[in-house]
Amino acid sequence: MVVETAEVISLNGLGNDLFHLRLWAEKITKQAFPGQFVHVYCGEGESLDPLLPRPFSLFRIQKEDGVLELIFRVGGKGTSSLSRKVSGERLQLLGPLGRGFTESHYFSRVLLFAGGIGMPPLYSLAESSKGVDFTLFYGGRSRSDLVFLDEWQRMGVQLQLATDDGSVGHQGTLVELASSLLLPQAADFYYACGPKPMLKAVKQLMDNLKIPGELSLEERMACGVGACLGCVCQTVDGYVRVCTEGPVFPAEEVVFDE
Amino acid sequence: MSDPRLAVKIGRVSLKNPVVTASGTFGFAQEYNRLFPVSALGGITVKGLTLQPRAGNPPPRVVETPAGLLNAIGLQNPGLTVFLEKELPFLRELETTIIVNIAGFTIEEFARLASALDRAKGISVLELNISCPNVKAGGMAFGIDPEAAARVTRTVRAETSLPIWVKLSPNVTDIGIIAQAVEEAGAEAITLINTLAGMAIDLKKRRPLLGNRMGGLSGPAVKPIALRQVWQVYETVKIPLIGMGGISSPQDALEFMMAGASAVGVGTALFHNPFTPLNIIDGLCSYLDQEKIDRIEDIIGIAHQTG
Ligand SMILES: Cc1cc2nc3c(=O)[nH]c(=O)nc-3n(C[C@H](O)[C@H](O)[C@H](O)COP(=O)(O)OP(=O)(O)OC[C@H]3O[C@@H](n4cnc5c(N)ncnc54)[C@H](O)[C@@H]3O)c2cc1C
Ligand SMILES: Cc1cc2nc3c(=O)[nH]c(=O)nc-3n(C[C@H](O)[C@H](O)[C@H](O)COP(=O)(O)O)c2cc1C
Ligand code: FES
Repeated sequence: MVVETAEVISLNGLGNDLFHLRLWAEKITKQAFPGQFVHVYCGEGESLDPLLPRPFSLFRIQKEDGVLELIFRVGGKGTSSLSRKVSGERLQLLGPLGRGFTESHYFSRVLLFAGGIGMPPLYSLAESSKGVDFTLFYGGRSRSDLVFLDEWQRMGVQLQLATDDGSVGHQGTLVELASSLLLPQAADFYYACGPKPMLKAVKQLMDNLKIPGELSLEERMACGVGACLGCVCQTVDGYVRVCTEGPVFPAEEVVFDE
Repeated sequence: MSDPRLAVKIGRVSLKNPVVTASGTFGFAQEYNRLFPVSALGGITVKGLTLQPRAGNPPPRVVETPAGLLNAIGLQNPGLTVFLEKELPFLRELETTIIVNIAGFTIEEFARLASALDRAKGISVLELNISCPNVKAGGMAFGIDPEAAARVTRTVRAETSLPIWVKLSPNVTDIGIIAQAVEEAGAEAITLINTLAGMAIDLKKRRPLLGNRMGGLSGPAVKPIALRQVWQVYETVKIPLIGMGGISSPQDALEFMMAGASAVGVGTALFHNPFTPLNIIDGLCSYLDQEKIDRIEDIIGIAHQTG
């Protein structure tokens, strides 16, 4: 974990308020693993507003080149400031933070579940594992929410898409789609990242199909390093810090409230 | 090595420089020690400690506001026994002043915490948190009533020979009255301010954003209020003050010291930049150079001088 001044290589709009940010951040990239995240200080210069850094998952970790890639959706103050950065501009990062995914090369058949902007960490996971048979269930509101589909395909990952409006793939949720296709023990392991209701439904389905896995959670954060206790989630061991013990948790440890 | 010109005395306690961390923003120091040597600080105040372990409040626990932060952690901490076994051994080895922030839900709990910590090695100060807005019983209740505040201070005084700093709540009509009450009861310094009670609403859900509904506001947004209260308390008591609330730069620290703080606490600004306390220490040295001042202590309360 270090604070590093990264340089923006490129920032591309993907449409639909989504942006693809490529950064030169040698130190963090060297230390990073799929499923970990970085805190990005988004403000302009010395400005104290926005005050807090924004957490983002690692979309691609290119260790040889020291290049770190993120995908983010513009929603509020921090992300809109971030969306105005230009190539060559410098940016403070803190990372890599948290505990990432269990490496997937221990398994032969693996399911990935990505809800909208939950996709990025699963990409770096898939990219880091050779010889694993991956199927990605990728869901969003409509076609424009689903990005980098060609790249996913090029990695040889089987894609199963679902959209609320049916503009691509199955019309409905990715969990409905998965439950119509999957048999018990259809895979050795699964990884999921997305909104809470989706994670809860994925976990329920996987429990029924007797497939173990890991969930990557989101919570509002302040320090990002485990010092403030601001980011806890409920687990079988009580409240634990998403930034330190997570963001990736064994699915069986996560407790969803009713 | 710390610049000797930055040394300050807080009653019986000597700090190598006037920059300490604010309780609850620095854990038990291990996390930030991975980013910089925490021994460079004048002091480290640990997370509020209670007799029994506490789970804390349901999430969400933090919400960003314009240049501010609302938090409702609810004093999550491992409790006295685990602190002594797991956290204190690390803290004890650090070459800096260790300030243990304690919170009781009854006066009896404050007494038991104080007597147990009195026997432990490696602790320099007990800071009595009678000002936490995020817990139901006790907490702030002791900090808004001068009688209760004095009773807690006297009780702890009887249990320990350690220096006692009392941490005050800004959520009162006249902070000077509380400050006087704890001074008379044996406080050796006063820490101020704790967070200001506040809240935020989630427009989509039409419900309060924080799991605890209400929380405490901190960060740059509260700085003018904190500074004003340091000023007021400086005029009413003789014991030293540790000023905090929104401090994020050397300039902020200087303002607090000129208003009467002998030392300053940095909390929320750590989240904006983890190196803030180090930048403040460096900035204070540069200030002394520029202004040709021999010791930082010479500026404490200087803004109160007339003429
Ligand atoms: C571990 C982790 C990984 C993440 N990875 C990604 C990613 O790869 N791509 C992406 O687009 N988003 C990701 N997010 C969500 C992202 O952090 C938020 O969308 C972002 O912080 C919102 O900032 P803002 O300035 O747009 O919103 P504002 O409304 O200005 O944010 C105000 C405050 O709320 C916090 N906040 C708001 N929404 C969220 C949220 N959904 N999760 C956590 N904190 C939030 C902000 O961090 C900030 O402190 C991740 C979150 C976490 C915790
Ligand atoms: C996340 C968080 C947790 C806190 N926990 C405690 C605590 O346990 N005990 C305490 O006395 N004050 C606690 N505080 C208050 C701070 O110590 C400090 O008084 C206040 O935040 C103002 O300083 P700042 O603006 O520099 O953060 C907490 C503040 C924050 C932001
Ligand atoms: S964000 Fe501070 S503990 Fe996780």
